[in-house]
Amino acid sequence: MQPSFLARIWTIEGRLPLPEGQTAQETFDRLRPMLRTSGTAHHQDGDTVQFRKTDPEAQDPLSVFDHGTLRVETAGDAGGRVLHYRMVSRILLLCFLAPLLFLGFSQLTVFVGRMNAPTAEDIAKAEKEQKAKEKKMVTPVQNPVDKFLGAPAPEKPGKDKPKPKVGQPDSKKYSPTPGYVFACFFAILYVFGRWLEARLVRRRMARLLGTDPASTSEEMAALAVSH
Amino acid sequence: MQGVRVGKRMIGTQAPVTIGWENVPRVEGGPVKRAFFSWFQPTVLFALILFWYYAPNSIAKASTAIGIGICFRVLLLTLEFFFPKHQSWMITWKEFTVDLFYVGLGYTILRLVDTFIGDDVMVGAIQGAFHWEKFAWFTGLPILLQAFIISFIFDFGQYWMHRGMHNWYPLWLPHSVHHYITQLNVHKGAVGNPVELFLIGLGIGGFFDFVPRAFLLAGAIGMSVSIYQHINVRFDSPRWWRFLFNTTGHHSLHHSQDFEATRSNYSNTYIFIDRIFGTCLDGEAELLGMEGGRRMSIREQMTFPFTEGWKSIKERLARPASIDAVPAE
Repeated sequence: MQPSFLARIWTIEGRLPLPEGQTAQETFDRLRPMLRTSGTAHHQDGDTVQFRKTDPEAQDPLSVFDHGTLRVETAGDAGGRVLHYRMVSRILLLCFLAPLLFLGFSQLTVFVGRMNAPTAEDIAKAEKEQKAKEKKMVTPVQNPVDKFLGAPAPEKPGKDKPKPKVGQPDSKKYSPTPGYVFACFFAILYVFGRWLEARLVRRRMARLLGTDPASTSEEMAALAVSH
Repeated sequence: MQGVRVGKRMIGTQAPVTIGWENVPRVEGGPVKRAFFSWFQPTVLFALILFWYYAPNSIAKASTAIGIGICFRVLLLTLEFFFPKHQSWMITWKEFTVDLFYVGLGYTILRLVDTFIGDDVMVGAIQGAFHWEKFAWFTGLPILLQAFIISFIFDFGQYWMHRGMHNWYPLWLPHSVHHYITQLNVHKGAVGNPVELFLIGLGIGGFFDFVPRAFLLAGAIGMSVSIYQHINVRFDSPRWWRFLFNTTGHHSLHHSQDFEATRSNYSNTYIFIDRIFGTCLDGEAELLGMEGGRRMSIREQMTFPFTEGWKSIKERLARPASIDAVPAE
């Protein structure tokens, strides 16, 4: 059964042709190193193996997946056998949703900024404090050592500081930009990860099964035509 | 495991660690590769110091620092990918995504929280309450000295906060999450429970008055030294570098699966602070983490300090109160 369009976000599915005459038992024996890792439980029932992972190691070849099914099936009229795999990944789903979270943080920042936007009273008070400060403040004196070494002379602090406006939030303190940037990062990471992990899991299984990945894709194309 | 005696402590009785620089493997390859990985760290540090020292005021801004920081991290990620120190620490898509999630939290929601309860707010409140002025005479010091003082004050505070986290259970709970990482990569420093990320960022630098350029220089020094704490690249840095600054080797021991080894190398930038207080351990470890290297999920990382704290409180309350037994007459 094909996963629904929505489920494809977090599900990776595919078929790998098996060498002629290879039984289901032989297939699973070859794939066993992939499943005998820390935090992985698997169960074989005839032509089907189901696995589940809890806190898999970082270098676990299937660390991206939380559970999955491997099934040896007959494909096409020629009676060729294929390994059908379907694996579910929570991290892919979380990565897909992460842009929404970071967009939410951006909107929260905008909201908090608006709530804390200065009133006319705040600005008058701040200006008064600033004037009192400026009276005391002098342009920092450059140390003779720095002058001798040719470092640029320091400027009076707060020279470039934008003046606050009534009802306008502090654009530096309450900037939504980092949230937007990270939302973009995760959107790109999702697209890349969905492509990469599907490719990696296919290649790793093909290697364990002893089938050349390049020829495998050609065979798969042939299988798809025969369907 | 036998372990190695370092002072009064036995290191490496629970998990394999390498103690002493003479026992740490060196970079393998031709003379160019070895020279590159020997001089990369000092070159970057001095180049950044020179840049921030001489950059015109129009360029010496926080936005430039952010840009340089991003480019530098991309460069280090590339080095990690092509020249990994350990294959067992190789960056994967999942590891990178999780790490970036924590970096993102730091730049967004934690920054927003900091505007209300961060160290600047606390320092401002204390100054207001006691009518203290800032230590304005600092601005007249040579810029490099100001930069060193800023980074040293921050690192000194961080050393004691970090040491406190390893010695006082309520602080250990939020910090323990960071010790569940099982490999070191460029962004692993950001991984941890948000409570800890907030605590470790507290400093008292806001009490002092420095010129903005000194802050940028201090940031550059901090970045070009402490960033190597969590990285999967082997550097053969000069002896003086390893004597003064924290390295991946030092920090890998701090994250090792050996309990005694984790109680060392607390500083962030200046390892000589650890040397002064007798907590420095030179060497490296490959097997990292807690509970034999169990990797924690994001959900557990978020809830662990609270669930563990609750468990501990319940256990303590359930324990019968100790009664001083008085022998019956």
